[in-house]
Amino acid sequence: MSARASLVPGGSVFRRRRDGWLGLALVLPALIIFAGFTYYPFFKNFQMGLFKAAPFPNLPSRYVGTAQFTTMLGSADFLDSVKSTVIYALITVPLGVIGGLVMAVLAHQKLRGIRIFRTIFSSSVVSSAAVAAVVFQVILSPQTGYLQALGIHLPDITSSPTWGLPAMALVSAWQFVGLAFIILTAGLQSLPDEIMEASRVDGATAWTRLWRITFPLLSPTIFFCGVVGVIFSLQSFGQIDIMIGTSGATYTHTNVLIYAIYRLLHVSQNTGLAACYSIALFVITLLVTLIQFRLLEKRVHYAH
Amino acid sequence: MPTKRLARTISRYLLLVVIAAIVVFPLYVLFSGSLMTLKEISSIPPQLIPLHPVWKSYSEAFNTGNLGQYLAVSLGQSALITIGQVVTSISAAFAFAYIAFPFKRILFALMLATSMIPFEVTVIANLQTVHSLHVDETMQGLVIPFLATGFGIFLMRQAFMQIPKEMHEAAIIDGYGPWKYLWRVAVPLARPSVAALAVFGFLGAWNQYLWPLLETGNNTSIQTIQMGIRQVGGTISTANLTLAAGVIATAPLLVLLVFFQKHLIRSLTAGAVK
Amino acid sequence: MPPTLRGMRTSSLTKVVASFALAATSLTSATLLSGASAQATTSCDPSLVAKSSSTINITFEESMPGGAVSGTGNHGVLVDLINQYNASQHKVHVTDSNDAGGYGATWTKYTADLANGGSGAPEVVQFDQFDSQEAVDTQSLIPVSSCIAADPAFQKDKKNLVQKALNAYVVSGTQAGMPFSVSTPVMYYNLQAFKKAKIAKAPTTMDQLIADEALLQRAGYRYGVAIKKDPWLTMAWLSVNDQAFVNNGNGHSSRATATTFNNSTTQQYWSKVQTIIRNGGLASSLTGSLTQAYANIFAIANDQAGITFDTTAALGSISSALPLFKNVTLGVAPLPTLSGKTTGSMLPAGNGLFIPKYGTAAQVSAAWDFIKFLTSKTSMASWASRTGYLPIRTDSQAAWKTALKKQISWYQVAFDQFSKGLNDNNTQGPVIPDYEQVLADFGPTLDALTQSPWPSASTELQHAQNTTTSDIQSYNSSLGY
Repeated sequence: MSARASLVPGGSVFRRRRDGWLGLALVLPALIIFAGFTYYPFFKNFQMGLFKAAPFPNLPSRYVGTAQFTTMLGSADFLDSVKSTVIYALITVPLGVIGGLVMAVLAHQKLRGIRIFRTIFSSSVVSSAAVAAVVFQVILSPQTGYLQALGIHLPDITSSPTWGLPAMALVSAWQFVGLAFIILTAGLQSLPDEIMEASRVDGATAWTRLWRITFPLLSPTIFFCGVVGVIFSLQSFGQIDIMIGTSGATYTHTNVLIYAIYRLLHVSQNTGLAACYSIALFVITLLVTLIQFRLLEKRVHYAH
Repeated sequence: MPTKRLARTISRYLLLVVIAAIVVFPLYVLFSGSLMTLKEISSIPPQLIPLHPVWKSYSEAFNTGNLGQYLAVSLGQSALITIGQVVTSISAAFAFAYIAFPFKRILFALMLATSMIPFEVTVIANLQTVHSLHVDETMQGLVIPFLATGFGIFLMRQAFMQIPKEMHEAAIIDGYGPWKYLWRVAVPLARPSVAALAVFGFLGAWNQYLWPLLETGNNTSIQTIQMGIRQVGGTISTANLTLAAGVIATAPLLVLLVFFQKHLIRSLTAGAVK
Repeated sequence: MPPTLRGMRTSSLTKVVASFALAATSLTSATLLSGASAQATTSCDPSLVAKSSSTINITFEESMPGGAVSGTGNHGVLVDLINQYNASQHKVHVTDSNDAGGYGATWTKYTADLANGGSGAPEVVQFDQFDSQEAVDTQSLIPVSSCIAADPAFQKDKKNLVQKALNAYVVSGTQAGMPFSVSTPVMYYNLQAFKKAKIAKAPTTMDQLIADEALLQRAGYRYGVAIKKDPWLTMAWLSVNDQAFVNNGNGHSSRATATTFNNSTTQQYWSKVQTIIRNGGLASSLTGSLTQAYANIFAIANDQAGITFDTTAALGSISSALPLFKNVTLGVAPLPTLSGKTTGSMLPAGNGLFIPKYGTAAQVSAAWDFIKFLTSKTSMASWASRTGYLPIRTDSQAAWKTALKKQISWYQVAFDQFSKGLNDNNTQGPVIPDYEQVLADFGPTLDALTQSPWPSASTELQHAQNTTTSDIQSYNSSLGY
């Protein structure tokens, strides 16, 4: 823990001129891939946003300047999308993080067979959106669904504007909870044993230890987990496409930004507007992440 | 006293079992549904346990969907992406962790930022790029865009920084150059993180859908298992086969998870080299 | 403190913005990559196949579900046909390219090919019939009319096709594609349920349907009637009453500029459906797969309902599942109407075959040759009898009937309601600009109509008509119309 000073970029071990070239050479492969397949297409969005695309990509598009961007900012569709995106994240992230935290604390006990539980708790990371969608269709079906068997009667998610979005967020939260568990367990295992021991000697109950010591010490990890969760939730749409689609009343309520982009690109071929949406999504991701850092960093307890 | 302790242990297990049941329930539905007959899976009220498990659904799904070929492609694609990500991440992370070079901070920030750009946002331009590189509808096109990952670089850099200072000092005294240090000290000590990076890379690649759909175009011989699933079922009479295909597509990842779950956690802990 | 956080400090994140600006200036100035355009063929000369000295290779992109193996769904049947074609001659070789993800996946892939200037595009592509207008609007097709014009043999053969199926693909006066698969909505019912509920015969009017629902519910069938919220039903109701879904000859004579589905006919139908749902009927979802999209069928299988409406294309898989459900004796009848009579006829729906222009002249010729094979007398009999689609040829009927044996009575109902009766623009199925968006606009309306607070059909349908019309107009204007 004392080596922190050297952990900031710049505190390098190898600092000869020759090493500098080596450093650049080592970074180069990743940089080339990013330049070609992330930065370039990302910035091409700014260019595409200036053109009104024809409905099909082989037909010429028209230069319209920033018109599409201003239209988007004023459109009800876009604002609905932003609203859905925010609600979606507000359900997915806390549910995933709290669920992961509860499981991580429970799995941190020294019990026989605890490794089996750890594997189960992390198991949801293996599910693809396609598989998750198929499974949750079976679970949530208003006619043959498993929840019906348990006596929980749900309306049809495709025609229920109130229930559709939370249901999709629930699927995302389940997909995310495995990763959250892994991250938080890692955080728990890295807490210094001495402090935990000391508090036990002081006679603190398990509950107080958890609230007074474990959680504050874990707060940087919880916060990191939240950042990962936000990025995850802003990028998931597969289950929405498969389970909700566009054929019901729920559609306009589950049209989160990434799904709107997907449909604009691959159904309407509206590359110009999709580019504007993409920029908006990036800005929102950046803003949320920055806000999380600014707000939470003050409250987060760093053990130094 | 012992009874009290016993009661506490039992209640702890009970809590673990209840939560495990909730978390694993969707995967259980996938598995149990894949063993049900069509009548069982569509029954009202739904049935939780397959009373007459139909194991042949797996072979049926496997054969009708020709899933062997899709699995082989997915295996190849995911392995190549994983290897590529491990190599580029170790390489870049080592430079960021140990070597002084120009534009280091800005390059590091740039690479971290890539995780904030959803891939969907870049698809159109990327399709044009692979086309102009003449690798569309090929395995190269499936793999190349994913050969680097911001998360991987970040993870490996953290792992390298965990290595105690004394190690570098000793290495430098012994006359190790950066190259020798990387292979003799850094990588061996960061093994759990390498394993974790590989597993995360593999998971991500295996579960991709949109890019393989668009990139493979009309070349069915390089389509991946996520597209293979759709070759199974799709009609009323084969709903149960769809779930069997889902199990086949997910099982390799579950096996991977069972073996590497410990590494995933360890790679993210500070105590990697206690 | 866990190390994973150390690098991700605010300081480095704020730098992200700055570094992006840096990268922006360097990268946006870089030359933009652009795909090279493939050559385009402008005409169709069917004689080139016979003249060719070497094998012409073509790709067929299709969206049929199921595996590529025979006997595992419609895709397997299609693969059998392709193999037959390849084995029957050596001038043309067809490679199958399947998008089991459905028409949407094929469309997505096809437009991705367009973005590359048509390189990689298939030589024959299968599209949803209702996507015809958009297919034409891509300006990437050779209309099959140009092949027909140069093919005297086909001109003679043409009379054997069900003319309405052919007419369905007439877009703005031109035969744009060839029909391949046709299905229509029909009424499915369970004869055993009818017996228990003491229903003598299948209802022919909506009022009888409402009465039968009550009888079924009394006999223990929870929903009585299950109705899938499918916009297709509205098209069907209009068609059997000889009314149009969109203007300008239902889109056939010239590009449609507005929807016209809100009239007293559809309002009456919808009020009846509302009554059915309010009385406890099931309104099931259109989206998804498995138990979700088949909820109406499963309601029959589970003795929750005795009657539902669905496509004949499902008949193949329904009949293969029937042996599992001893409680069901399937009956098929035409959709009930308002008066018990029809003034129009049932529209065709399904998918058709189109020829992209990016192949060589020889490939275009080969594409047409292959399309003729798929729509030939024997191919069509085999395709229809093994999938549940209806044959689009009258001369395939005999073989089709023999192959289907006893089940033919189910299919005959559907075939008759589609092939007999009026053949005009109103009954040939609408040609709808921006069809996917029109569908998406329709969904909320169907949901609203079948839920509390039960709005009036005229208000809801008018709302849908306004939205769809405005979307069609903005689509048309984006193309310069």
